[in-house]
Amino acid sequence: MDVLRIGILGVAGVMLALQFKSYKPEYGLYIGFAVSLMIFTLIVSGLVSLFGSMGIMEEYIGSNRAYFSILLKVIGITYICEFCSGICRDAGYASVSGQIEIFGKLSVLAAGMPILLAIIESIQEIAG
Amino acid sequence: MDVGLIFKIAAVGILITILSQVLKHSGREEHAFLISLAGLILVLTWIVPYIYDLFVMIQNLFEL
Repeated sequence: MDVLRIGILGVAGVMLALQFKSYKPEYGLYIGFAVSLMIFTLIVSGLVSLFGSMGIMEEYIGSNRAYFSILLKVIGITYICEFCSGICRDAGYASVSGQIEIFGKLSVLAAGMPILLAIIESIQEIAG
Repeated sequence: MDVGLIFKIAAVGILITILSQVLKHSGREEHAFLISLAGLILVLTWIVPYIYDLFVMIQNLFEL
């Protein structure tokens, strides 16, 4: 991905948003939100090829598809929660962003629970 | 999703700021508030489709 373009886009957007700090801070927030939305879209579209190659690699390993989809789900959850809590923190509402982060951690735990159970069962078979 | 979106928002922001200053100094406080509300709604109508596309893309990609 063209790192330079994303860097310049981010810096230019932040500088533009700073102009509104004194008069109308909410427009600075909108510009910051638009810039992070744009960069996030570029990231997600860059990830499509990454996950394609990871899928191919996963077939060689031969482990069933469930673990790989759980991994994808966990990454997606963290991405979205990080994005939204960052926006809330920018707006100055740290408590809301804290709630979002806590919810993200819990949903990651919930998504990863089957793997934990599978590990415990395999240990049970070996040791039990 | 191009860079023009940022400049459109910036333009709306500058315009709304000037208009609300003018309205405030001419004694019409509530009009100034309505103008900034209109600016908010305008910017939201631009941004919301992109948010929707983004989250649909994420759902498809991460199989949520």
